Amino acid sequence: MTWGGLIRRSLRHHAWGHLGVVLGLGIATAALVGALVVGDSVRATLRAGALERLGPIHHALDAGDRFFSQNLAARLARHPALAAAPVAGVLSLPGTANRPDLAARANQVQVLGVGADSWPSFAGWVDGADLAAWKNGEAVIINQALALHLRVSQGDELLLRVRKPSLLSEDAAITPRDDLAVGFRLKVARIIGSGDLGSMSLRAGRPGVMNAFLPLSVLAARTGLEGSANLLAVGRGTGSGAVDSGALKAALGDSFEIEDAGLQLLTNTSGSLQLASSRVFLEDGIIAAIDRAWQAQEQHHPGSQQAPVFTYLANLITAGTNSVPYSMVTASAPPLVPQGLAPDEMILTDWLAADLGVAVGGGIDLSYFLLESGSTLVERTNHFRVKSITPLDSLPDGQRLMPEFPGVARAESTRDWDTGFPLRYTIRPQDEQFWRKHRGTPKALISLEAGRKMWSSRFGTLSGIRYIPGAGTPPASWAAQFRGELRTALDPAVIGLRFEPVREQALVAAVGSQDFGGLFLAFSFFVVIAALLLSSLLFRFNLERRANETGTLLSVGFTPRQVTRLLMSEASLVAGAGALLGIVLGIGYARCLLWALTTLWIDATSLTQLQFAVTPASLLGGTLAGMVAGIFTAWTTLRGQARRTARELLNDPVEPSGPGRPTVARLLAGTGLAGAVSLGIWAGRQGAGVQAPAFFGAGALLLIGGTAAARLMLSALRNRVNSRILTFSSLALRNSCRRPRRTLAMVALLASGSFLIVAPGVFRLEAGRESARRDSGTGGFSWIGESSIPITQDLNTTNGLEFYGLNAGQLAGLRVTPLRVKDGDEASCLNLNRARKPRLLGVDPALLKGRFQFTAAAPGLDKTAGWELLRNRSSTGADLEIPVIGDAASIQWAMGRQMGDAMDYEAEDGRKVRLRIVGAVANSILQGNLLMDEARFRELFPSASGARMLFIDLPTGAIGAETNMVSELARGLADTGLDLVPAPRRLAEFNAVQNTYLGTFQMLGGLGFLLGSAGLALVVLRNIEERRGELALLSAAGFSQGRLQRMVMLEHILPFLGGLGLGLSSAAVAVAPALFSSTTVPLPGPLCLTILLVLVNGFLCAWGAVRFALRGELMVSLKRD
Amino acid sequence: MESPAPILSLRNLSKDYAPVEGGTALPVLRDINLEVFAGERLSLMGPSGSGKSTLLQIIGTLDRPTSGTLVLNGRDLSRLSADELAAVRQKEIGFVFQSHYLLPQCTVLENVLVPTLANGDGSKDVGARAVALLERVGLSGRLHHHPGQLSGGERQRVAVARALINRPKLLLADEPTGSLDFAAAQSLATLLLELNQEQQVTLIVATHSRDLAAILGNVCLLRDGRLLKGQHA
Repeated sequence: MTWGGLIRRSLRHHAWGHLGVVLGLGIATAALVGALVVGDSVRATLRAGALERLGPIHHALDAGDRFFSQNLAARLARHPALAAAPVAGVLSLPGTANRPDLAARANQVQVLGVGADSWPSFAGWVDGADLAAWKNGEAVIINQALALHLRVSQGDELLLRVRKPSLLSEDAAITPRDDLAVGFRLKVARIIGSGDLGSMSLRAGRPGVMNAFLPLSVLAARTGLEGSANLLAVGRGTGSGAVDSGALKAALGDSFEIEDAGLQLLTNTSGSLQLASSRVFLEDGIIAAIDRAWQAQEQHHPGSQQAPVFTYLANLITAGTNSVPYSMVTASAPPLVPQGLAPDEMILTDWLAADLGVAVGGGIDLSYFLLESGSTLVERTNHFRVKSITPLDSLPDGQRLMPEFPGVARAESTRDWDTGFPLRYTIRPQDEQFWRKHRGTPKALISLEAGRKMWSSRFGTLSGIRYIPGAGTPPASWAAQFRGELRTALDPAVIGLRFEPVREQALVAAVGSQDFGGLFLAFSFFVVIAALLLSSLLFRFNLERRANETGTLLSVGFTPRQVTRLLMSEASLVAGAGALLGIVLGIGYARCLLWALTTLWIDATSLTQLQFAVTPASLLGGTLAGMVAGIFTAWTTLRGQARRTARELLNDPVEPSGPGRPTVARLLAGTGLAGAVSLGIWAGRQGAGVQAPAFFGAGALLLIGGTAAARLMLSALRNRVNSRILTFSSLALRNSCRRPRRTLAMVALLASGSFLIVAPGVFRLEAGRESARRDSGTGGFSWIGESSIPITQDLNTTNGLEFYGLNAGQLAGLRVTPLRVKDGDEASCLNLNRARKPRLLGVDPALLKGRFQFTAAAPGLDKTAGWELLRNRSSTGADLEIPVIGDAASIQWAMGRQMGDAMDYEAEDGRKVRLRIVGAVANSILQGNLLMDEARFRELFPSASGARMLFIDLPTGAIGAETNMVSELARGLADTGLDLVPAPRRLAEFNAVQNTYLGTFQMLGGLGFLLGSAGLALVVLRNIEERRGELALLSAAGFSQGRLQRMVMLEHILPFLGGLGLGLSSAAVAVAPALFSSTTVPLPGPLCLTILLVLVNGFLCAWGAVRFALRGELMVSLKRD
Repeated sequence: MESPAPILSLRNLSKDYAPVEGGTALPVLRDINLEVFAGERLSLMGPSGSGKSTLLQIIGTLDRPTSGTLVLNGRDLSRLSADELAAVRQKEIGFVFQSHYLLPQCTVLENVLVPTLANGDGSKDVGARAVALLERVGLSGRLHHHPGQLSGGERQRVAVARALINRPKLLLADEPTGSLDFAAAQSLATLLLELNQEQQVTLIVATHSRDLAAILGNVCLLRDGRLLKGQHA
């Protein structure tokens, strides 16, 4: 006989008893394993999604609104460091797509111009006749998401409208705005899936990105961007050719040409050179690089000269009663203007002097549009004094002094001008003749200081630089040298051209903003607890059944420790078996949860497919956790048994139980109930933000206090009913109090179970009911608009509305809050990826004053300052720290940040900036974004012109007219790809995530609760089994079978109802704010159904157990005894 | 010549049961004084509730007295820890209960061997001794049967063999024939008597049975917790 042998025999002999424990532990382990497998699966799905959207792309350079030469890709591909890595140049532009019959429209379409010859092999497209048609520019290739959205098939036609970017920001006053998009009518050549890079996207976002692919040459030609691209995609390369960020940076530096920065170095007929920018103005970062290059060049070519140039359009030059419209005026420094030209002095060409009839010393008024005034066109006038008059032809290569003003520079005639402003002043014949002959030759010169003061903007502080090589230096060799110096001095990162390891970043983001494993562990908490309680109950019953055995071992000389070791060894093996069973059940449970996540709970994930994935760590972790929990449960149960002596075990197998020490119960009951009342009263006086958790706390205290009070009540009842005259009901009540621990356990389980599944309802969110309030989650806005193409006009003005052909009368009372957008990762709960660089919105804080509800501010800041926190520079310390505000949930979950945290960003000019989170608003439509002051936004991202997001207020009382107004807006702004969504609906989409999570928690809680009520049946069975002889005696004394059943039923239903009542009343306190608020729905249908199910299940379990236990001939037991 | 020391000595031993809520303590044994010498046999008789089983359980270290001393082989057991008492039970005391309390999962032979697990004695001698004991109690053909396959008398014989496996000096039996028919009871009584003589094991039996008491002789009478008649009282 050995220990092992004894354990084996015991396991075999008590197999049926152990089976229940194994099942219970199997369920607990299954819940753990299943939850972890869900986490694995979500991570695997996100990872697969990340890999699908990037395909072979490992690194990418996304220049956004800045364009570089297409052949940069070819130059990079030739670089030795990248020899093995494929490089593709892409032109990526936003667009919209329509069915020809306009029956369906897709607004957020990414139109990708890709190399007709190189991309198919890069993306793995197979050849075919359809591809030939595509290469010819006769057809478009779209991805499945777009095809599904538009309901089009291969061969169908679609209308594609693509943003035609302006090289000068659309915010600039002089930028033309009536040619913002270009249309295509194309057949669908092919519909591609994710495997063909159909879902290509550099940013982590919601699934379902819509892509349309066109040959690069076709897209570039139609959008006026011939030879340009704005995206470089680099593959991994093979073997030793694998590319890393360092190699790419070096290769970019080596391959970079000044044209890639939009610079041109032109040789003038006079032998001078002109440095110009295709973006019209030179930004400070580029000017700094040019300065460095110039200093180096001067070393090689002493005697060379440079003259910075700032040429701008004067709307009107007036002298007395005479005026000349629309003239170029150049601000410069020597040698282009004489030394000592004062800021208020002007040099006129003889043409202008003659036309104005002004002489030296005369006064001149110069009117111009403020460059940054955009579509509002603010005109300013400055006064000058004529210093001198110079012949027009004395300006060498004067035409070259005018930059490439879009819509003007290449016009043959003034009638061909396509300006961003109305030509209010009459262009006279002599003006037309001047243009035809001299084009943009300036008619006047001023000092650079004066020019910069008037015209400097975020777009730049110069329009070009004129260089005059030293005597004897051929311009060509001078230019070649200078190009080299400039290339060396110019860091591509300064203009935002830098490669990002997108694949690596995507895989990091795919780890997820939510740990679904952890989330479902929490959701399955009650299932685990209920299963463990069930196991504990069964284990205890087994021990009680084996009390004689234990007593015998003790009586023959086993020490209590030896007996405990023996039983624990057995329990560990049982726990192991339960854990192994749990693996199988857990995988099934995980599959059920994954199915539910893509169907019932799709609001939480937005994923229609979830890949099933299991990692050994999850299996092992879940199994071990289940096993440890099982062993711990056995140990805690055994601990009580181990304290009993052999005599007790042999004489009374069932431990006689008192329900614990009354002092502790009194203390718990007193503090719990008093705490619940105090907290409830305090919470009633607090604001909405504090009420929900405070009332939840009050409910929880009531639950604890109530359970302790139930224990006291059981003692009191036992004493009271024992002294009463014996009646049928008092006998039942006496039986209820007979084993107070069991009864108390039942009450506690049912009370906490019902509390846990009902009380979280307080956190359910409902949009819409109070959405008109400015402090609600909608900010009081009625609609939200998002466009693919920036809206550059002010829609709060009649001019702005009329620009888009909108009926100002029909839209009277409409107020629009425009928001600038810098694309980034979507940081809402609808994107499961971790948002690394969330989308940024620029807004005027004044427009949001009093809107939304602030829940928190960074340490040291006052949240009551609201949106003014965005202007608070002192709050952020360094200049390059920008205050931002976001939605509290997005900050916490999607970004994984806290109040006061800083995030690193790059400004458009490559500057490193830090965004400091200074405030958070509650449960709002702002989810997914970070908001900053529009002024700071423009400084950081000058190219992000116009508004791509609109928050819309409709006039009060206009509910009936709402449809008409929205239809009118949608019609007028259709070309911008504007999507209009009611703000409450958008909020509801976000709320649906939280509500779905709560629903999931409550549903799984309900499942645990049902499991817990199975414990009730076990208790009933065990109680009856122990008292079978006693019941037989009652039967012998004349009690009918039915009467006995009713008595037993009554004694078990009383604590069941008591527990349920306590749990529900505690939950009612917890959901009190929701019961009296119109914004939340605490008791949705499914929850009521769960409670009803629990009630019915409890009755059925008790009744079934009573029937089962009292089956057969009771008298047999009596005879046996 | 000096008289031999008693193997068991009880001095002023009392036992009260703890009071039920609000009540008073219930005295079960009062001032018991008893000395038992090696190889003696003794039967404890008395009406139900007189404290026979309680006294036997206290002697068997399954319960502790409220006051008084219990000395076994010169050692005061009332001062020992639970583990030390377990060791005493293991080496010096064998116990036979009214109910056999055999482990249903083990065979007859294994049941007899179970006590040897507690002291880790896995020697071949132990196995041989168990077989010999079972032969002695007349169960040599039942070694590999399970308790469920035995009659009541046979089960009690197994319990006796189990009680003797560790060669105890003191064998305690609490109503060992209480659940047996007359013939089986007679047979068991005879067996106990023979074992007492053969193995020089001191035997104390609590019983209602006058027949058993008559066979064993040396009757001590307990009434209302007091020892009314007995040796050395």
